[in-house]
Amino acid sequence: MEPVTFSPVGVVHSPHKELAGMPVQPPAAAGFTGEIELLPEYAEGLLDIEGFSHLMVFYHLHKSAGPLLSATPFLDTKPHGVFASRIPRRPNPLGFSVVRLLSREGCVLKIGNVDILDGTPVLDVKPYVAEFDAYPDAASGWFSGKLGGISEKRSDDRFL
Amino acid sequence: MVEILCTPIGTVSSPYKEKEDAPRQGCLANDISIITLGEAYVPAATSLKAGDDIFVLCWFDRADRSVLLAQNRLEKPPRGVFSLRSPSRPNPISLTLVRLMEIEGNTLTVRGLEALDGTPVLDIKPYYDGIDEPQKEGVPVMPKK
Repeated sequence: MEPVTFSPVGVVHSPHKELAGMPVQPPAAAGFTGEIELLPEYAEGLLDIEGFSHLMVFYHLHKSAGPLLSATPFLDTKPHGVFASRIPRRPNPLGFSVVRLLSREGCVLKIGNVDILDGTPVLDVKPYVAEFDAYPDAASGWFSGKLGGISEKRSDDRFL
Repeated sequence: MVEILCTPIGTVSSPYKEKEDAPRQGCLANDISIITLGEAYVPAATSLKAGDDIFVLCWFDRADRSVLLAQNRLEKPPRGVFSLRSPSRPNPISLTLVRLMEIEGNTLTVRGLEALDGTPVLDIKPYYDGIDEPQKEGVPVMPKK
């Protein structure tokens, strides 16, 4: 298939400077704050974003070591296909996180619950809208019951 | 900043042939679409099963990438595209939460995807209840002016 080209619109600034030891998903990142700094030419796209409490940030997993088709995720002990997991090493290294929006100043969004590596290129920002993005009765497949202890869970070096 | 190249993992077959046919969001229509994966990516779908809720990331290839302000269909004043869920944006990645109805080889049957017929698929990720659903207080549908 024809490749598609992304042009980053900004960058994440975060306290996570190394891949190992990071919170593995936003619920494990409570208390970690950071920023999305948009390139000035995209600042107009932020008009009215302040009214949202949460955002979906889409980014390039730029330090991903190359694609896998299956692996054992941080939150499990047996392998799964990468489309059934949030493993960063995937055919297209695209990540997304639901973060808290704390404030906006010009091109800079201050965010909370940050589980993103410092320097990560930002591809898109969307407002989190519970009516679209959440299923109260969602089925979480193999992941059901694996959330225990997630707030303390940190990445290791298995995908490096 | 350096541009990033991605090769789609599959294609959507859907009942929506033109933009006017598609719902604003997939969950508003709940129609059936088929995702056909490239054969090389079938092992990556291992562990997915019928009944799972999954995120499908598509590339809205017919969107306008030059747009930074757009009007929501329901309201008049234009808003920044990063405060909207409209497809026109610098990098038109769509994210839709769908129900996986059936999976057979390289074919995924899903419900609730708003993508046009022929849309490239970039990624599939599982929905994680408890991770992807922050607390609901203070989450407005749209900010009021």
